[in-house]
Amino acid sequence: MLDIIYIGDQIKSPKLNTLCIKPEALIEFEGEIGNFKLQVKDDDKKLKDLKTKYIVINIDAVRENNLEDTLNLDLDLDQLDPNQDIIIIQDYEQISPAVINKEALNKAIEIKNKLSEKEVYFLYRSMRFIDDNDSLFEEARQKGIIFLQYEMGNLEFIDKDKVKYERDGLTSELQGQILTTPLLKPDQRLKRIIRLLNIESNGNEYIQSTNIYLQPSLTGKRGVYSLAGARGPNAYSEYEFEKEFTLNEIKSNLDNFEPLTENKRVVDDKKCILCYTCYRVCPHGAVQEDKENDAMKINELACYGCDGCISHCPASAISIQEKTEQKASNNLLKVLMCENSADTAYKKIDKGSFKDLDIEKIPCASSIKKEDIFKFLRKKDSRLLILGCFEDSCKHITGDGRGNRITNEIRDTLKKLDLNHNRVIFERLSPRMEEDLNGFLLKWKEGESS
Amino acid sequence: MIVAKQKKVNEVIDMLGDDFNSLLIVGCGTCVTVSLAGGEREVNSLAEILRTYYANNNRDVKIETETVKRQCDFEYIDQLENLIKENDIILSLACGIGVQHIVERHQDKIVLPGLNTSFYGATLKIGEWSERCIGCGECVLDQYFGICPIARCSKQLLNGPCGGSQNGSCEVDPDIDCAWELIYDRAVKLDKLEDLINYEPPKNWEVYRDGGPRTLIDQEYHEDRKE
Repeated sequence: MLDIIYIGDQIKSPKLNTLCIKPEALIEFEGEIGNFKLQVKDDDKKLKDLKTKYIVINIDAVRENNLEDTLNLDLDLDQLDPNQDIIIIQDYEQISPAVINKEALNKAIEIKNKLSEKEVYFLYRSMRFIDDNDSLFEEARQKGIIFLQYEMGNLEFIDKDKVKYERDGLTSELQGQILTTPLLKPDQRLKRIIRLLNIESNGNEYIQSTNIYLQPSLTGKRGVYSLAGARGPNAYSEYEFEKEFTLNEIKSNLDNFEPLTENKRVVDDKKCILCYTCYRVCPHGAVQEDKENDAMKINELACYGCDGCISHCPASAISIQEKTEQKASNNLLKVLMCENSADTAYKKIDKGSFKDLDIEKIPCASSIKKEDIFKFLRKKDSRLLILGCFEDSCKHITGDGRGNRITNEIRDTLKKLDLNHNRVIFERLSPRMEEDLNGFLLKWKEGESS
Repeated sequence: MIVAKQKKVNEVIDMLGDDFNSLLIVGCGTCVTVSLAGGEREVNSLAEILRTYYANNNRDVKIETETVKRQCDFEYIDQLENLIKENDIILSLACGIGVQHIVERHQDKIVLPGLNTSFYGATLKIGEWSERCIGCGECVLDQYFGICPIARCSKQLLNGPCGGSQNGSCEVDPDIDCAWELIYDRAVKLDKLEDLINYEPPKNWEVYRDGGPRTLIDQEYHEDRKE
């Protein structure tokens, strides 16, 4: 059993038992944190089974030269014609990440040092002041590099050594050797890794996701980390910190694999029709096919307990083992609170005014079931408030969106039934919004819809 | 698989009318479960929606639910015999085949469709399906590199795209891929562009619906029965 398998580039990790595989070598993947099983095809085309506790995806982004007939950042300074000015163009069509910004500033300084008699123009749309980019910018200005800010549409390539630049109604033509900064694009092999590992990504491009729970290098799947180009171009600026975080976290949890939830989610293999809906819905990649039983199964250690699979299973085949039955209440006002946001905020407020509400804690807004909600709405004048998380702060990554969608479908159905659709309302809260929650609950209780 | 979509709930209520006291909603556990329209979850949700509606409108209606593996085989329908007899109306959440199969077994019952059967399709992502086959009776996928011009070209053209193909999209709807662009791209990729030069004569439509409703008899089993 290995400690870490790196997919992509190896990272020095003393005291850990690691192995590095090429992205294209991965053939099959299953298992969960502490026991990932990978089938890998080695260079001799032989299949090999590997087991590892953790996985780190460390695949560089691909550099693509931006425009034909222009120089690139990797040019050798001797290639330059010493009798011509230099025009460096950054952010053309696509804003460059900080790592490219830094390289371009460094290159500009190098060029200016070598060709001090010539003008070096630096055309940019945005400066990314991360790391020491601001001091590089300062140094470059002191050396006499001319910085010109442009907008797309105000810069025109006239010839292979000439650009027209317009700003505040003034037009000028610059002539010289043109150097454009490269574009960073996701490695095409990354898509396949994202699919094989079943992890959440930005439209299958990068693993980087704007979610507070996925900082700094976590993916939605427990035990799988992503670094550098796999996380997107912006991740390069934080690379050293993220690398250290990842290795420290793995070292300190090397054999600490406890389930994150109290009760197991189980799939009834007689009801499961292998439609893969749960697999597609699970934001934590905790579901996989159980070939022995001809049904899906939920990996206990990988499951974060959001219950999205239960509410989405079209065959009603998934349930919580040993769930204590909620006792039915006759209360007409019910509030479902996500335990990661509203319920945390609720703990901080005075509950005196809300004793008469039927408040239920739910693991995630995506766990709401139409069936249960309509059962509740059968009572005339009953009203339901569902409190989920803000988009970027949903612990289950896509749960808030799914909760919102299910609510909208319910409201739509109520409209079609000529029943008041405002009997069901979905709102987003953060755990720190206790004051808002207080006011919000009071208002809702009085029957005012927001 | 067969892809279906649930009928709007107000249409279902209109269809059911006022002249009944008990209702059985029957789900189907295969294609329409996968297409998230008629599986056990949808059956239970619809039952609760209808119960909510009738309760809020002061009507006393008994609603029962059951989901079988497939409504297109009599053996599964026969498992429901008592339940079907006990209820005034049967609402089937199967494709049109399932609805008619229940009718065939229970001639005296009102059996209503809860779904609009849409097409034979594939899942693109959760909640999104796309038509890939129309069951034309004579597969031509070998000639078009695995992309069907019958199902995926709006005009079912066999000899190249029409003038409405724009940037890879169909003129009928920009969200529809031009099947001929896909066929062309595949031919380029497989280096078989010259295979498309041959003129393809009109298709034999007798094996499709033009020959009337179709029956398929596997001779081997047919002979068995005679014995």
